[in-house]
Amino acid sequence: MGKAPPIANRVRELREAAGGISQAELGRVVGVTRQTVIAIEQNRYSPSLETAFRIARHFGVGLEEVFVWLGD
Amino acid sequence: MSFREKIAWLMLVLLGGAALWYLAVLHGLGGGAPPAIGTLLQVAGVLTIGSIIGSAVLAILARDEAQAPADERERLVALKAGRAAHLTLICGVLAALGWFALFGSGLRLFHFVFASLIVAQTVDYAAQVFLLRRGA
Repeated sequence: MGKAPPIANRVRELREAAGGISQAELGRVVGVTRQTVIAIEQNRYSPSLETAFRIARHFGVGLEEVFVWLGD
Repeated sequence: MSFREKIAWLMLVLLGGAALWYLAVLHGLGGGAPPAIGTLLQVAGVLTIGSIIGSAVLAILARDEAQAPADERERLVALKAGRAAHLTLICGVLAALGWFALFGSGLRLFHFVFASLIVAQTVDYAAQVFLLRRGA
């Protein structure tokens, strides 16, 4: 398995807080597949800046409330 | 499992089967045998028809996913897998040319290059499966 990106995210938490929107629905809204949303939530994939912004805007929060840099 | 991963698995299985088939025919003919053109055409035909039918069945089973364009992660996976396949093909062709330069066997050159094509395509689909599962 590859090294996980040094970025944590609260996508699952925000998704559940937003009334339990499904991974497939979030993926459709931001333009990625359900599998990509799963990969993002499991921290196996870092989305592009555009997708990161789309996710944050969908939940009505700032980018740094969704994604947190864990590296040095 | 995503539609594209299913397609990659399908192609892996088909390519593996085709490679084994061709190798078995070659083995039966002896290592220095000329290219088995008839078998090559059969392998290419079965591979083509198998991939068309398999892809159509998978697309019918997951119509929405099949119609959707690849997303950013899937495009990245395809790029990385393609790069690995490209390197594999270059290594295989260089090995074939080296063999030809040393031993002058055109038949071996043909078989090396053909095998390199098959292996490179197999690496492409295997890398896609691996990266789609790992997360790219």
